[in-house]
Amino acid sequence: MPIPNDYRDICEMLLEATKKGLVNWIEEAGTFEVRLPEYNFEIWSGTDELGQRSFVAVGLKDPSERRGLLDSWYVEEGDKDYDLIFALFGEARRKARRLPEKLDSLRNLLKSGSTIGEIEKS
Amino acid sequence: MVQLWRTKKAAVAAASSAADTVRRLSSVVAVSSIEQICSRSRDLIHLIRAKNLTSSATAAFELREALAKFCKSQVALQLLNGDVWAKFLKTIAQVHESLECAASIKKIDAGNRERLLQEVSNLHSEMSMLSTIAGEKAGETNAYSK
Repeated sequence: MPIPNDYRDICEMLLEATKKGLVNWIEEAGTFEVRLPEYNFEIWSGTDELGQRSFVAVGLKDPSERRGLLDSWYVEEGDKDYDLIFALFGEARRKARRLPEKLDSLRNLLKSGSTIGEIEKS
Repeated sequence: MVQLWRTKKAAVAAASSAADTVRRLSSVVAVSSIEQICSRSRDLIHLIRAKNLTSSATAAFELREALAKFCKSQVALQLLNGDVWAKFLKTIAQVHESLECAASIKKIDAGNRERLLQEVSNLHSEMSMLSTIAGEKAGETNAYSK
């Protein structure tokens, strides 16, 4: 299924804002979330073991509620909008895992010309 | 004077006996609570294996609730320290959240399902061991205790 109409513009804006570093994503047990005052926006991905198709799912969760999500939907590989939602998932993961900072740090180390990496302990 | 001393001694013995009874009773309550947690974790393992996502999410919530209630009791803190209980609680909270997400879209990642099974199985083993330890403390363990 495609991204629901009332979410499409939000997903596009979220992707752009994430690329600009304007969204704080947090990883929680394989799910990436943006914590907002009233609810959390969550995104996760996987491969359905029954259908063998990859999917990206989105949910809105009220953190004060222990049960259930306020809303949820998914887009499967091959469906319309899969590329957009997968791009958002990828950017969220990069941001939550601080990959750009880690890669910058490695880049700077390599530019310094000195030996990098710890010596193996015997 | 002798009578007074005897009365005091009897009172001290009665207090000691009462405290011992309370301790034993607490251990019995602990065994019962841990057995209940074990039963819930066993059910959850079966449901995750059966790929029944909605029931798994409900069972995970019930297991989380049972664990949350028990881990704050005095008797739980006598068995394990608070940090260990907090770790168990965090694990089952994550399992529950993950199953709720999967149930909401009726899909679960194959690798995630394996990970959840592993985590609940580990928790079940820990609780089974604790049940035996608590049973021994209560002096009522036997070969058929789960």
